[in-house]
Amino acid sequence: MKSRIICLAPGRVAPGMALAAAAMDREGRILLATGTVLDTSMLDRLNRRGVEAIFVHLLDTRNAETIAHELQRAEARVAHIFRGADGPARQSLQNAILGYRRETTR
Amino acid sequence: MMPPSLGQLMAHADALPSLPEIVHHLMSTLKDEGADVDTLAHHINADPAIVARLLAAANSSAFGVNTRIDSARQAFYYLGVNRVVNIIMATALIQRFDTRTADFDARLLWRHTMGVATCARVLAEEIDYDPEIAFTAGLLHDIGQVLMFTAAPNDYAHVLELRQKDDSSILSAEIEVFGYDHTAAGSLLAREWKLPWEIIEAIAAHHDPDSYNNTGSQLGDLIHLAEVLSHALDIGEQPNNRVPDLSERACANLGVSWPTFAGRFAEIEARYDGIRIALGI
Repeated sequence: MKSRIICLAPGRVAPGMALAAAAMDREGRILLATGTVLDTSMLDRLNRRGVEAIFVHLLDTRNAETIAHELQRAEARVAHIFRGADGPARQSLQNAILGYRRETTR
Repeated sequence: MMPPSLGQLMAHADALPSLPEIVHHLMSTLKDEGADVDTLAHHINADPAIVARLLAAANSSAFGVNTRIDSARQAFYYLGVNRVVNIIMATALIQRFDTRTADFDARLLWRHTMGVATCARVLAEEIDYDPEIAFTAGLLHDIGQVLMFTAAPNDYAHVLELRQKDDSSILSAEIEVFGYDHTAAGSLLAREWKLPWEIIEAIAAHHDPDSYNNTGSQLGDLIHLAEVLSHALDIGEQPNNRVPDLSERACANLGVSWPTFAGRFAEIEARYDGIRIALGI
């Protein structure tokens, strides 16, 4: 089964999930290494160290059709919210958002 | 009846519930690296309503702390000073300005506000600006909208209608109805509250920072970028969301490159999600 990487607030992370990137504190010190399978005491520790976002692996149960549909919807939404005025900086932001949505939807 | 002039609006500000004393105190400690936890906890304990809301947020699932937190001091210990300060400021603002009518749902505004505050904090971390000041300015940047709605609810409902009907910016709709916009109203209110000048300026500058680039503070540019980014990330997912104009100069001034900064978008969304759950908005 495929997995994908998502970023979650600590309160959304369930024990048993594996870290897709090292968990670091605000000073950039590594608290837990990539691949660590999280248990409740580790999650508690990350909370106490002020970690606000954690990258974990999530099982991906979507089929190709669902992914294509989600991708199409995400791209249409980006085009909608970026309607109207333009300029190089806004265009660069739009491209960055579009790239991000494509990457996280796939 | 005519909408209130800016002067009349400020007269109305006296009738607004003022910011709790503790918020002023916390703002004065924002730049104090060695802020003493016992002193802060002592000040917080003077306002039982604040303590109650702090503990409710601190014990919410967003923080997932196994140990139950029963005091302000414990909250500082488990969550750290910064997060406690942010929770207190956010809950104080939401509670003091809890407006919900058919025309204006303050919860939607607070979601946007928390989104901008989160973007501001992460942008500040990226460019080595003080993240606490950035977060606070994000929390307060749209306070002018709340003041205008509170003073003239029918006129402000008309603003929202106009924006919806014409798909125009909130600023142009406000100017059409009131003759001024929420950046002017908000910065005057912030002055009335004697907030730090960088924050007053950021409230004034967040939609049009190019007109406020004289004093050398980066905060106006930073809140402008945070405002645009929160719309671009669709935080709050308002159906009529539209990404506002983005100042080329502000991006260049802060040295923000969007392709590079995109590496932090996922983190911003997760951090916003945690705050939203903790505050119940």
